[in-house]
Amino acid sequence: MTATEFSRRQILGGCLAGLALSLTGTVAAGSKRRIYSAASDRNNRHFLCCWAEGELQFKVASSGRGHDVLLNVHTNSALYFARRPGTWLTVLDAHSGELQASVTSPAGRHFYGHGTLIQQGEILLTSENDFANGGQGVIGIYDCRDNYRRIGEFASGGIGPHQIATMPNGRTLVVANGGILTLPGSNRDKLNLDSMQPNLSYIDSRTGQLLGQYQPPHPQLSLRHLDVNNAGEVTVGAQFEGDTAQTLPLLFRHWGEDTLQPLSASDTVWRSHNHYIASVASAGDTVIATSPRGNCISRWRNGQFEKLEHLNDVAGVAFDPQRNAFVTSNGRGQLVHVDQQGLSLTGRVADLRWDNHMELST
Amino acid sequence: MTGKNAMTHTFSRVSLSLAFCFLAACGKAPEQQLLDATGSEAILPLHEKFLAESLSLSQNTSAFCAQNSRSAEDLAALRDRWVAAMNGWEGIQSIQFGPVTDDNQAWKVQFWPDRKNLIARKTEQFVIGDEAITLPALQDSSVVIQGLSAMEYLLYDKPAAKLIGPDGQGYCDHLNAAASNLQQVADFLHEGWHPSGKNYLGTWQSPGPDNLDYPDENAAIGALIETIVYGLERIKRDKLQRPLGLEGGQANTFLLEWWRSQQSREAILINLHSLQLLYSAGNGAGLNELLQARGATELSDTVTTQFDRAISAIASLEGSLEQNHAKAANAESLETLYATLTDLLAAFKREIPSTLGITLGFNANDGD
Repeated sequence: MTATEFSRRQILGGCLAGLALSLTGTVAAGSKRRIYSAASDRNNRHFLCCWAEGELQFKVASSGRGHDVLLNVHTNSALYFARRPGTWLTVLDAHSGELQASVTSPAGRHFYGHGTLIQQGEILLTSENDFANGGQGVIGIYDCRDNYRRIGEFASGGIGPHQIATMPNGRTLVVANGGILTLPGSNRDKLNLDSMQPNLSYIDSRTGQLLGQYQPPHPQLSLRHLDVNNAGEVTVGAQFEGDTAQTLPLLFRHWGEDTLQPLSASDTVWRSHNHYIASVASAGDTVIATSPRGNCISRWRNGQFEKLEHLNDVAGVAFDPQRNAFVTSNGRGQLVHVDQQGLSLTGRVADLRWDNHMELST
Repeated sequence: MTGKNAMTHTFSRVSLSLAFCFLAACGKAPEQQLLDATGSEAILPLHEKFLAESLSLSQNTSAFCAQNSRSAEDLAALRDRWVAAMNGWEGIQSIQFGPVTDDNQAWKVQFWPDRKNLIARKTEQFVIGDEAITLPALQDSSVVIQGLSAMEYLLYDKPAAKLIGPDGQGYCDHLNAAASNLQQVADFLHEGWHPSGKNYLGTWQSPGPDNLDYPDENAAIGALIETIVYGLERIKRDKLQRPLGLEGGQANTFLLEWWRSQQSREAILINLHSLQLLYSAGNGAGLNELLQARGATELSDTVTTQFDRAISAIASLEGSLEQNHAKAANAESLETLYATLTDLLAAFKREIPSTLGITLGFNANDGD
């Protein structure tokens, strides 16, 4: 067995295809497709929202700006994460929007806005900043059955862990460590741009053991957002913090190779993303990436660039398996389908600006 | 003019403008008037100018390269045409929405800053390569050698002497292909905006729930404000601060926008005139009047004054930025320009959007 084969088997752990989707993709909330996202209005008030069939199902005020949402089918919950450096995590009933739990990160820690579920939705893992001890990245462990009591943590494998996901084996965790040091007292300033060490890490969620770690080809490519398809292939998007005169690939895929594999596109395509990927969603062999700084959505198949679509301030994206299409959201309140034919408006909430990420249930 | 005549004259002017007002725009909301006036008085004319100057450059380059022998005077005349086309580009450089985003057109026109001198290296490789130097070959090559930046290298750097010598045909072929490519880009942009073409102007001027790009008027006006912010930031950070070391660090004039032709000062002047035009719609119903209509007359006037001050400061700089940026006589003008750009950016990033109830780039500014 080669090292690569070993690594792949250990990481994928038998590849129970579909488990991750079944954990996060369906909530017992009726037959309507529902879109969950944080949002803000023009008066800079912040909300945790659910939209379906042309209208808001609920809009719950929050104390600050949210970031990602996670659905827990087993508890019929929508988990809304505070945007960095927020310390709150609000759990709402995914159907009614009623409060199920309010979680606060422990002293000396803040959330990075993302999390994932393991063990049939019983355990929540979150990306966190241990800012009280210099800003090392940690993964917090919370017991969903016990009012989200914090029961432990392990190292994330770097500084600035951002989006995390569970691999199809239900056990291995994949972490995008962005590499950027920020501290709550420094007003979101990036404190280590000259010494960043971003990486993609695979970690055994039961033991915290680091199983593998992969660096992008440039140390200032901050790996931030990712998605995993049913086969266990990870696609990770980057935000470039270096000299903007350079043009570098911003998306990489990984499925047990020795190095991250850049997706294939011309410099013009990469340049159109303006050094910034906000969200990544994958389904089968297709990947969608959004770039609000490039006002564009890019579609990729089998690692090859296919098409660029223009949409202003676009960021959120999720796959809708029933319609076999991706849905995107933007800062203009729009929800827009992306499929082979192009873009089509599916809804809009005029006075809301959808925040970075969305989750979808069918 | 007698009192009666003056009164009659005034009356007829008022009647005329009222009649025009009635026929044209006065029935429309001020937001719609802004979109109409900015399109017809700023966006379309600026694109028409770039197209006309690019066409002229392309025709003149073709004629220049068709000659059996080329003189220094011929080269000087062609450089003038290049400067005119470059000026046309600087007029629309800030407009970052619309057709320019299709396939990254701006990058085909200008490669800057060029920290690794890629323009010189890739142009030389292209010219001495085995492949015939044609427009399709150029368009299949790196964007670095496709537009005004490569033409500047050919016209003002080492190849210039060869262009007027016996061994200059390869360079001339490259020059010719780049001029044709530039004209195609200018044509693409013009056609993309123009109502008789793909009419992106119509998309921008018709906001509504079914308009994917502009679901409401605020989104359309926000695109205009964002483009002015982009243009001002480009001037402040990329055209002044970094190359001249204005906030610490060494000056590096090779980072100036047009260091080979020494046209960087002129480019900033044109940018500012263009940005002021986008703000005022040439004294039509621009952003300045919308601010007034919303009761922010003082802010409207302040921004107009700031544009005037910035333009006056860059115009009063003696000589080129490349040669004279560090001269004591220019220190005050540069300081005034830099400070005024900071004030303008504050107005367009915060005060104007806040007054108009517009949010700029919610997710684009997120940084997460």
